Amino acid sequence: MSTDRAARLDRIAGLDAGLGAFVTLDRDGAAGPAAPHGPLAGWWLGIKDVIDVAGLPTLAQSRVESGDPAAADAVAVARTRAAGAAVAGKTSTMEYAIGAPDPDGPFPVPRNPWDRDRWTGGSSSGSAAAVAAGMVRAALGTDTGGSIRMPAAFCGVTGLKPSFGRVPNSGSRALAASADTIGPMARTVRDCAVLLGVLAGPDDGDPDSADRPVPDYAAELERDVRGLRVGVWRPDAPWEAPGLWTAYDEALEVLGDLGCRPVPVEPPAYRRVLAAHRVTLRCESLAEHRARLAERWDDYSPGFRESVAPGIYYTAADYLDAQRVRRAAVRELRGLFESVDVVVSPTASVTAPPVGSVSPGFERWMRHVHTGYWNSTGCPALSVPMRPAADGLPLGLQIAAAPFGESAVLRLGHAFQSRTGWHRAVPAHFFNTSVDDLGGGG
Amino acid sequence: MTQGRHGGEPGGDTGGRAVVETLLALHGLRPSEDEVAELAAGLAEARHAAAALREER
Repeated sequence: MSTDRAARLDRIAGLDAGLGAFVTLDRDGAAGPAAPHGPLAGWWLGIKDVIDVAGLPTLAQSRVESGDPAAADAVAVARTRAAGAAVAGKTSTMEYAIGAPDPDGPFPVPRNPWDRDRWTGGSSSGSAAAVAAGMVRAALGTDTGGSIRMPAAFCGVTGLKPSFGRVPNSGSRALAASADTIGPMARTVRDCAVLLGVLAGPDDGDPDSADRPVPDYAAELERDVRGLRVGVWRPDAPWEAPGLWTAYDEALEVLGDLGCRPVPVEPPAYRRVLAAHRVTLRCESLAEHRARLAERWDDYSPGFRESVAPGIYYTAADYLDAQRVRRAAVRELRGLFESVDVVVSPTASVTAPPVGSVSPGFERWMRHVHTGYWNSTGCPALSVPMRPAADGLPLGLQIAAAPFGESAVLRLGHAFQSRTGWHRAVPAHFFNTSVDDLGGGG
Repeated sequence: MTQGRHGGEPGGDTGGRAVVETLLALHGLRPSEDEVAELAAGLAEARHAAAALREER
């Protein structure tokens, strides 16, 4: 192990004490050396532990996994390393990226750097915590119903769920194959844009990956946002964090000051699309896991079983109905996105909940999180930090666009961050380890 | 009778439980008695939601 790597990983381990952001640190450099040059040279990354890294186990926070080292990098990981990034290790999640945290399992329950008695959100939990605490410059997450944007919002970092098919899923554990999306998490929109430029593009191993040109996302950040038509959505929730609408209205004022034109909107067929998303998620995740569930039911966590077993409720006709609803919504959204360029909303109506408070009953609690619609319709959606809630905990502003409209959401998010400083806020405990102090190669 | 975690009717619906037990057997799944009760409690709500997907065809 090189001295640089040893020092870096010792530092990460120190920062991670009591947080549980990392499941595995690559102390021996099993993942191999980074390329010496490239757009990510000098970056250290955390990789969500459902994505393969050669030489490291993919545990997916599950007793069901063998723990054998992965034979090869996932395509997304290989692309980052070819672009110069160094892999620090694997970050914690929920079992197979669904369900709720499992305090009785053998894996760390990730805790929020802003308040260790609070959860990070999930399921890209450790990736968000590692970025928020300054352990790594950026991380990879996956998002099937909000798993990048929810923890990004709760931990005060930036996270992008790209369009379905924008980033190949080859080498990542499937949850719901028609919605799974790998994406970047970092402190800034600029870093997410640079990382997306590396990740995006087709791969033969993933037939759903899109064979479309990859824009220079970082270069497009500087394009003016004046005149951008911003659909303003105010989603309902059973409960709202005090200060939510003050923060949101302030964010809308910033967008207005940037010259954007607000237009009130409601996402078409919202409730039906969420119902279709639930059916899709339950059916596809059950299909993915039912053989092993039949053999090893007790080895799966209660939260996973509670989320996946309801897939038995549905027939093939129900599943096909759900796909028809999704296709119809995509058609209706084309109309909406002819009248607006992006749609904004709070990412969630609540701040990070206390550890252990969302299990059981995780699905009902998810009514406070406004992310699943964009998964079901394949749209890109970004979460950027906005003014914290009255309790001082982070809140996220979500920016969504039509499929493959990443440039628009990144451009608006970058403009927002050029006028606000919420993305630069660092939890007090980590104040002396800010991202500016995170240089150095792999 | 217990309120279902999934927000369905109280878990005394023996018909719902029989359906769930049959579905679990079809999939080869063997949850605990408590989990079967929870799944039975959630069945009616899930079927209602699935039926709503067929509306306005």
